[in-house]
Amino acid sequence: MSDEKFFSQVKNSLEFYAPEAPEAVYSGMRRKLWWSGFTKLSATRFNMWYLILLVGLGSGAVAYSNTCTAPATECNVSPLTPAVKPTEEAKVIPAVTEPTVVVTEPEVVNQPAVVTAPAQTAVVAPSTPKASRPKSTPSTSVVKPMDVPSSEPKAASSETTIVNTDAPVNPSTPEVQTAEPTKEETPKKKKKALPITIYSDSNKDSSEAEK
Amino acid sequence: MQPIVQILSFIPRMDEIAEIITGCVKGQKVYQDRLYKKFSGLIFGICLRYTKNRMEAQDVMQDVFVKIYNNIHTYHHDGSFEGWLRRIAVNTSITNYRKNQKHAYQEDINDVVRVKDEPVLASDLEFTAEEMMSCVEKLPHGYRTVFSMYVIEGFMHKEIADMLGIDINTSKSQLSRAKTHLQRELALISQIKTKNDE
Repeated sequence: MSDEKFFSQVKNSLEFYAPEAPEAVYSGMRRKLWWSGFTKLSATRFNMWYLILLVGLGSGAVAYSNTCTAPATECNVSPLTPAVKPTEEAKVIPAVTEPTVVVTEPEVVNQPAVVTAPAQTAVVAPSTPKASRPKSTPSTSVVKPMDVPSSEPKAASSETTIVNTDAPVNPSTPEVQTAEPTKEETPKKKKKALPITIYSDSNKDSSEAEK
Repeated sequence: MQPIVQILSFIPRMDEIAEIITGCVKGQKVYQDRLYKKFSGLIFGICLRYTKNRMEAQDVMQDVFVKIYNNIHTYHHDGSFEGWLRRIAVNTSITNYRKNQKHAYQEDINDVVRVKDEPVLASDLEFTAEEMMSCVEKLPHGYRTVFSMYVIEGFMHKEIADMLGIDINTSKSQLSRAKTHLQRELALISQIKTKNDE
């Protein structure tokens, strides 16, 4: 028997050989087909990649919501819950127990004060009822409340007394303190130059002669 | 007349095949089942020739059908659908063979016990497909693969060598040894048949 004849005999026998496949093959094939469709990247059907995307988005949303709900102050933006809730109603706090006082600096004239009475000090600037100045602010002039009871706050003083250092101090008033005026508070007064006439001896003699 | 009609009834009609293909392209399970029922035997027979045992053949057959369902939209009706299925089955089986060959024990051709090329008793007896297949299954795996590719699929030795990653001479020698083995087995079967007839 030649090779060709033998091979053709074998081929004719086996070419359409079709044994019956076991039943288990079909179920296994179905399982493999489902898995291949599930893992295949396809936009038209639900598969593993959609599931991964959904799980990722869900876990991200849960994580985001957890971070936002735990400490309210750490959350920057939350469309549902406001970041900071008002815990109590706003209360009106009384502004200041002591009235604010605007001090108008009295003009200090670098001139000797006119003393009208020996027991009084010179009143330089009339003060309004609100006028006062804080204690801590340094001042060249001494501000002293007068005619005010000691129980009342000093800010409620109605009058201030400013004593100029250049003025001749009455020795009978021991309460008066001295202070040096600063440049700001003591504006320098321009001194007008007086015409000076120089007379020489010759002129003097001539004038005397004229006289 | 009766056998001819019976044979013709098994030949799939073209309109039926086209209907199955259209349904499988749409992914309809009914048509996939019809395709499986019609060609599962053929695919399983091919897989049996290229695998070591029936369990491996079943695994390969599952892979073949998965490939068919996933790629049936690439079939353009320009050739025989059965030939297309057969090619997928053979290629998948060869891929499986090469994958297993990486871990298989490589047998040197010189170490193989040389089979004497004794003249086998010429047997003009007709063998059934089952008898022939039982003899083929007794061949060593490498021999069987080369023999199936050359004799049944019609590949040349160079193609076989390229597909299996072996030398051409190896393919030739394995085919020769496979033929001798098979003839010996068929001779035994024929002797048993003649004894039974007597």
